[in-house]
Amino acid sequence: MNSGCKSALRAPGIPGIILLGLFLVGALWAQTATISGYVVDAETGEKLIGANVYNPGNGLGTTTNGYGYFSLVHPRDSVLLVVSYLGYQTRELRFYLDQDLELTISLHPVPLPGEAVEVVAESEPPILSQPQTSQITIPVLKVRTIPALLGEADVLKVIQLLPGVQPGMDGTSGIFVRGGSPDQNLVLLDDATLYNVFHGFGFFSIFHSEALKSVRFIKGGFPARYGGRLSSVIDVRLKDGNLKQFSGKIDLGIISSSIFLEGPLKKEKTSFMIAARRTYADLLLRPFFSREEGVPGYYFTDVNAKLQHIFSSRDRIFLSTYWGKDELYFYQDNSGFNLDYFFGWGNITSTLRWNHIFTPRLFANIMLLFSRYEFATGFSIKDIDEDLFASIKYSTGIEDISFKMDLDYTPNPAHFLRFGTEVLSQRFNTGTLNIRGDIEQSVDPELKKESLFLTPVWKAAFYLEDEWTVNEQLRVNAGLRYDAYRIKKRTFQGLQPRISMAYRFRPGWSLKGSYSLVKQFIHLLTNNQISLPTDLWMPATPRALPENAHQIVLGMVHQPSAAWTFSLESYYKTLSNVLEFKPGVIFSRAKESWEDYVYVGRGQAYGLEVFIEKKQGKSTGWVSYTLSWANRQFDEINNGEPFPFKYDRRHNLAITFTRRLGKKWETGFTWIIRSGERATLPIATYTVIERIPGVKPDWYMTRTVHLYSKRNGFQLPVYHRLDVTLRFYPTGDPRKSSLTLSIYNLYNRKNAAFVYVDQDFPSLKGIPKQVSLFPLIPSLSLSIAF
Amino acid sequence: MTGFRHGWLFFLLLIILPGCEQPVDIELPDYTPQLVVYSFFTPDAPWQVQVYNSVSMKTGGKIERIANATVELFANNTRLAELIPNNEGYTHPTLRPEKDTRYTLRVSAAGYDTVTASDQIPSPVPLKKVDFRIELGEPESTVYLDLEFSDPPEEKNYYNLGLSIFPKNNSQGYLVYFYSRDPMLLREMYLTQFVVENTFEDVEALFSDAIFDGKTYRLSLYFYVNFQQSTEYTLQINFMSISEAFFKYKRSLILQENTGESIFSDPVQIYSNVTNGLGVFAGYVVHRSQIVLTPPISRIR
Repeated sequence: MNSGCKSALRAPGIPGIILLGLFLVGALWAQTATISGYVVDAETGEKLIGANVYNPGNGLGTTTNGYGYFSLVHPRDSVLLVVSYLGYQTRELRFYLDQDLELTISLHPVPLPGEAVEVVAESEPPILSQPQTSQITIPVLKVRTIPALLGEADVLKVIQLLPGVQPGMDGTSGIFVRGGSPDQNLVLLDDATLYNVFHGFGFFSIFHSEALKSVRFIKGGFPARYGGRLSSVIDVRLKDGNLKQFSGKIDLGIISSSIFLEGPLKKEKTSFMIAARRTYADLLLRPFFSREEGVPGYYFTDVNAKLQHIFSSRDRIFLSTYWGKDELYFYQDNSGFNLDYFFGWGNITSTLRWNHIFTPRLFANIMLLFSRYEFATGFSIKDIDEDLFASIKYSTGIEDISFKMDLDYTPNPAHFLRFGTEVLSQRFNTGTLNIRGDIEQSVDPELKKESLFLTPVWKAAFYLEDEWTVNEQLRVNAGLRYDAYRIKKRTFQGLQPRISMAYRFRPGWSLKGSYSLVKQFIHLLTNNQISLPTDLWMPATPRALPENAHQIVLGMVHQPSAAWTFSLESYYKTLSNVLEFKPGVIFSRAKESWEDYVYVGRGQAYGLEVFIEKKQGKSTGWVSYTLSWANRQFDEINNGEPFPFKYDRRHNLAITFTRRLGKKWETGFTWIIRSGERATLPIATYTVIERIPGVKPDWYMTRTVHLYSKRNGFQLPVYHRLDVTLRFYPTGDPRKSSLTLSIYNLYNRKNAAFVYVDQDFPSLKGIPKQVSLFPLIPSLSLSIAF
Repeated sequence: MTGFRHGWLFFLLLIILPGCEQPVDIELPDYTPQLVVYSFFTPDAPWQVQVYNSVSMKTGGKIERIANATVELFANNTRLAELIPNNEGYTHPTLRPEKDTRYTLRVSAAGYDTVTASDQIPSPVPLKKVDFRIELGEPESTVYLDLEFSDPPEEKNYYNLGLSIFPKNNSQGYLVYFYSRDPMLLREMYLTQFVVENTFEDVEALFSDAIFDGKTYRLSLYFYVNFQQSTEYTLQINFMSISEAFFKYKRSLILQENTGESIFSDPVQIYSNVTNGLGVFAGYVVHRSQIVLTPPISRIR
């Protein structure tokens, strides 16, 4: 008993003080009630992510979470609730709040984009008060209006136009964020991690723009709920499906066609969405080849699908899936035998999500997630005369199965808590050989013992975030994340503090700052030039420890009206335990000693970013400028001295502009100008001796080789390009049918995709030459809505 | 397979479209030509040093042997001699490299910076045991060879293995392609070659003691001979202990040859231990064994 009394009287400790504080603050707000519910599209029932819900009278407000839900604790009093969302008509609700209130607020889309959205409230738009730094929500409708290579709308190429983002090789969808590499981007599709986001060797992304509901891009000040990648988060949500009526769209493009369908299975209760596309150049060219000589081809295809069921106002279930595949193939039927060769890769993801509202203030998102990326190559041979068959398949990949729970809790108007957990089982296939058919018995069993990590690797994560409205000027998001990663009896773990804040020092102006520590427990064995499907994901090991990044961001936002945003941000980031292939390594088959292929080093990136955006009006668009530096340092490279990262571009300017011309026409352009990327080029040539002691000990032979500059010591010529588009909407509604003419690289600028030095003989003089990939390319695409 | 070639063309057309190649306005930096020096020294052979020049890519020029260089040799920081020119470079009529001596080479020539390089002959590691067996086959028989040696502990050791074979009554032998699944050879192969095979195959093998430091190691390999062409062969095993500089130079050569100018990889800089210049100055020692291979009886000599 004594012990119990002693315990009861013991000092409460820090957690106790926090709970006590929350209780007291909550008590102060005892005269409050909760306004909660969903904000949805009035025409489709689609929930709107990031919609603003606020009372301009007292400044209290919130935004809908990633599932369209909001919870606002408000004094029991007269309420003017203003609900707004980009591209939708702002709505006002007036009522007296005397008890908890659940609402489903429908917003109507603006009939014609570009026409002014009525802004009724004089309160400052929420972007100023949101503590999050370095975050941009990509308007999905905008993705389809920006000129694109071969007419393929691509959200990753839109992200390339944002400040702080450097694209990879010309035309590709590679994303290098604030000096980071592509594997440091966490790409989520309905919360499932995607491990390869490219079709066609990186020239197209796997995202089907019609199926997307929202895309959030974060490059710094990472909230604690995100973890596992150092440089950015690309959080992509699929549409849930139209709850009110059937609708669809068919897109016919130069290289691919697609179909999109959505509608209710049971009105207002159950809906579906499905989007599928396929390239067809291989089908069109097939008649030009004979089966006897052999038929080659390449295609990519993908399918997004989602089911939604509303059990009650408190419970909803979603099942979404993505399946995508690229395949390069060759088949031949030749005098008695058939040969099939393939080289393919693709992702599968599935998300089973349950949204449950425990109380108006406590929202739960519970998920089972699956993700698999696989690369495979091989062939099969069938000898018809001898009745023999053999097939060989070599595959690599990574597979995740995880459970995730996110909880949003609003104890009082001053605090908004997010907390949750994740348990992940991860398998790495580092190389597996499958042999079937009549040769199976004769194959050396050693050949089949390839993969290293088919036994699961485990990860557990916990996070807590508090978005604290300190006063009308200051809001803070403070959080802590803990990750533990266990592989072969070794555990890597770490606490990762995150904090970001916004201080509105005068109307329309806000100062922002953040600090984040992020840990990445897996590495991608890849080269710096281009993303290849053979790139291998590998877990951290004692020789290749988890990667870490510390990032500090300071910035200022000015928003004179809802239409205009001016943003200035500076950042400083350090990276550690980053990997670089050893010189000459272009492909690795990960054996036990895979770490021998790589150097482990560190990096540093800093810069200044300017973003000016106009969201409303007949003319919309943005200007993005980045001044940046990005370096790497490895003891074994460049004599241990720091050297510029491959995509260290000092200046990067992108201008995107769209203009409505009357009711049915729209035009736009994108102009990009940036410093060239870095390259290592030869500066001298000389003779080497190859001596092979053997038959004659003194025998030797020679060849000439190059002496190269310091790593990435050259900068390629300035890159610039103008893309234009002209679009016709027969109904005047961009969500409906359209005919689009796009011209990529209008003035046919020959930009360098890569540079090499040719050597003249016998003078041995070097002649630098560049290879350009994409000249002026017009494209026409037709979109038919029904 | 004509169709398949067309397939790649189709694929490139589809993805890359009409790629364009043209000279680009990039100014190559000024580069002052340097002396390029090579010398691989061993107690079995006289000193031999080759001296060339390098050529700037910006200005062009001609690669030549430098015939008027001053080549000086130092042993443990004491000047030994100046080498004299011969047909293949520079040599000395009497001096031979010795073990346990750190040699420094200093080369100077008009118009070039003076260069220096230092290295020494590594500790010799003899083969303790050589086992073999022959599996007769038609037309080629397989020779399985096991080589055992003790790696010196607490030091990094580097090796190079080559096999040459001499048919009966023929002094003009040839290098033998041999095969192995030895983990050390495979490890090195994966580091230097773009391959997916799990069998090493080459005429020589470069490796280190990274996975067997200080232990007795047994290296297994096999190769093929044709007893229909000759009823007897003499196999010469050249087991070399090489210096770190030799190893790094040789490995960078293999990497550079395998990578070429691939756009998927950063270029490979050939290793050099020559200060102010290029090339390599490296010591080695060879342990040679000979085996007479006859079907079905063989003996070690």
